[in-house]
Amino acid sequence: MFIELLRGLLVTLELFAVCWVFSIPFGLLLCFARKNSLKFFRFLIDTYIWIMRGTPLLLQIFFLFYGLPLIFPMLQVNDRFLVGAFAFILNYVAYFAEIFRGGLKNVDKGQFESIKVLKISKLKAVFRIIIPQMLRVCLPSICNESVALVKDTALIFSIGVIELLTTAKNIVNSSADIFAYVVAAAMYLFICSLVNLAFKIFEKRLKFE
Amino acid sequence: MNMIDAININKRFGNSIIFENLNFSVEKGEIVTIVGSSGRGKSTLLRCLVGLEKIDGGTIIIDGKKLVEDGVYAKSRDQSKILSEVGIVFQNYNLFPNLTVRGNLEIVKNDGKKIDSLLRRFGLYDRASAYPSTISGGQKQRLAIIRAMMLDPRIIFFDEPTSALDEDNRGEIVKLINELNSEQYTIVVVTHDMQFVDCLNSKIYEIQ
Repeated sequence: MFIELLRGLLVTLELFAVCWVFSIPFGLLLCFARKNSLKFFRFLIDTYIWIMRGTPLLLQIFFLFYGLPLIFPMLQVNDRFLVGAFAFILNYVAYFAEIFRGGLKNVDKGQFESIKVLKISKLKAVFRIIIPQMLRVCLPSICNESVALVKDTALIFSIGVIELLTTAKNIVNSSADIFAYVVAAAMYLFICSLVNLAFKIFEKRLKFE
Repeated sequence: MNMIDAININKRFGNSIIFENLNFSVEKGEIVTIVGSSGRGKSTLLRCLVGLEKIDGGTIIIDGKKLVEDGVYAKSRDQSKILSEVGIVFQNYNLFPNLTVRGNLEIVKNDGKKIDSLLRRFGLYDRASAYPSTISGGQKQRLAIIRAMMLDPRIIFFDEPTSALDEDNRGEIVKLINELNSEQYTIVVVTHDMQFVDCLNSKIYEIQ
């Protein structure tokens, strides 16, 4: 049972890692693109965020895996994990972009004025001044979203990917013993606690004192 | 020779006129204070002179080069060149809180020798690895001055330099401004603190 659950956990962790690694930078990119682009692109980005945040993730997974190939047959992808991960990334990018927007709004206007007057290059300013200051504000929200992501990974079962929760469910179904659920819950708790801890450590480092 | 010439400059925010047909000049190497009660547009004027705000009409000449002529700004590359002559010390310093004292300078120009010598001269060498939130108001101001000096400007603007300082630090800033002026920096100070103006040996403009 443990080995099976660990295999499920590995899929959960894989999905979490892939989604996290892509969603954070793309969320940041979307946030900056929104701020610096023309009205039309801003409208497109806002619409994307509106749709992603306003519809269930489960529906988005279904749409990508079952719906899209019906409209565009050439978009049929058989790798269920890949499609699922893509749906997660699309969804979480929108959430992270909104979190970063809040962080960017919180950076004092005077910082941008200093950057301009001191002729600091845009790239240097973004990576060394703006993002660290944004992160300081956003970190609790990013942590929350990351913990939510750990638990949301279970939704990928809907397109037939066997992850931790589905593995536990299968074991319970075949053994008529709910212990597998308890172990799966403990595993989720452990991963979420690790994520929380990592963010707490990072938060301390970002105190600038 | 004049370092700054502002000729008939106008600035509006929407329908409200901030200043109109304003004229003034600053000679090379002098200290000029611009005074006036709050809301008169002193800080806006200063922001126009460092390129943070655009004027709506008039001419601004900095060190003989036209930044704006009859309301038309120079090309952005030329603007950047002209504005490299000016540095500013903001009212609330606008230091980068996530960077150390040294980091605040390195990000402007990574010149270790220059940074070390300026930090020593302004008494901040021992605090080089401290973050701005942990240093005193006077130290923050000195750091803001060093940071403005990093790009070797010829004119340094001070926006309300005494607003956040106590009596001792006010004396210190007077000393610093005089010191900078003796090194051929042209200084423009915007303030409403008349006591402070009395301590500076400066040409005074009053915005009515």
